[in-house]
Amino acid sequence: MTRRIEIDGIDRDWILRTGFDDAGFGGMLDKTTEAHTVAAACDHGVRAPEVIYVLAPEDGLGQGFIMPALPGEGLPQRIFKQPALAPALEQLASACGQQLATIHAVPAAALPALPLRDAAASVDDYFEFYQGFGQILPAFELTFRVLRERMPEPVAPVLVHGDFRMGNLLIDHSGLQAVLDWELAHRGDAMEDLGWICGPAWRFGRLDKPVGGFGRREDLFAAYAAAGGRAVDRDRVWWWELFGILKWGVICLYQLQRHLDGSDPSLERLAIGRRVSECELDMMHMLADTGGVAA
Amino acid sequence: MTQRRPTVADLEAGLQRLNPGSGNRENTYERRIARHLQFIIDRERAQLSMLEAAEAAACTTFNPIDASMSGLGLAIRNGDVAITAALINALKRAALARVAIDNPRYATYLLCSQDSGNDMA
Repeated sequence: MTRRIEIDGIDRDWILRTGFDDAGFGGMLDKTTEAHTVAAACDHGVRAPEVIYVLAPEDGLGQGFIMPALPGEGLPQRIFKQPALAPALEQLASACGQQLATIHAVPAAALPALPLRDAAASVDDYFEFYQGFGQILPAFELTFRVLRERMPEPVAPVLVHGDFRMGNLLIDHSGLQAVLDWELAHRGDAMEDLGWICGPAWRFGRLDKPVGGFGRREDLFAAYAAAGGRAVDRDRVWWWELFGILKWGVICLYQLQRHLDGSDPSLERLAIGRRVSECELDMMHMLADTGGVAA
Repeated sequence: MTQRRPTVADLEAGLQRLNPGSGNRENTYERRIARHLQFIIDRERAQLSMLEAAEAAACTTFNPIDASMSGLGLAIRNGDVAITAALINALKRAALARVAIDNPRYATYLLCSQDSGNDMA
């Protein structure tokens, strides 16, 4: 949960981030680990909010942390509709490439203990989640098989944001102000972040702009490499982009399951359950369009 | 194992049990979701035969032994069905028929609908 708060005697707004999804789905970090990860990223030049306080048990609020409220817009549809932000959007793919290079360069020694999640572990974990829902969906089965058959070789792990996309980026007229929501951070393949932001679901209807609905892959990759990031392996990015679509589909199945099993019923979860077909279409369209090879 | 999407019965039961009240902002959002779900129910009733035809085409073509979507899924998982462009396109057509019900405003659906090639054949 994220809440805007005031602190007596200090004339500015703050953000209090608390809570922990104890369902444990998807490997979310607890809030203390998230706080230390954000702080380390910030210390190493990432545009991340400064963590000014990490909650202690005696605060009586559970796990959490406080950071300053920053100016800018985070909601994708609002960002796309504001003419004043159009110039910032034109440069955003490059800005994202630079930020991702910076994130991936945060030294391991500066980070708290984070889960290691490479390509093989990711496929295995999400297959286990998917099987647990008791569904056998041909498009998912085909995609799992393709991902296994084209599994990339392991690489030296780096800090991976895990959910780097529109919706977790704070934008104002001058550009990218902050990278938010680090709860899915882990150690893994740098190309994962480059693939995730190109997922169709995160283009918010702007399919002609593969990077987040605002930019070109060429600009993202060039800025990433120029900022000192490792060479972009387009085959690996393709793989992670396909995995990202499947992952989103499994997340939709998880949300549906929480309604169907009665643990957290809601109309919203029912509606999300009907978004699984969008993921099936995206997976098959990507495979049909790229012939199962990198673009 | 059976395929377990939220069926029309699930959606209707959810709408009855979780019928949003009136007044506050949260319920406005819930009412919007409820309308969206009702549209899905209406479209599924109107287009179910097309969906079943697309799925049946995929199943009987690629796994006639067990011509169900779950049977085809298992055959794919077990490697009994080769992954080919034809299989991918058949599953794509089935997915298009589903998204036509679930969210015909979805961008990929609109893109594929514009293609006059094999996508919608």
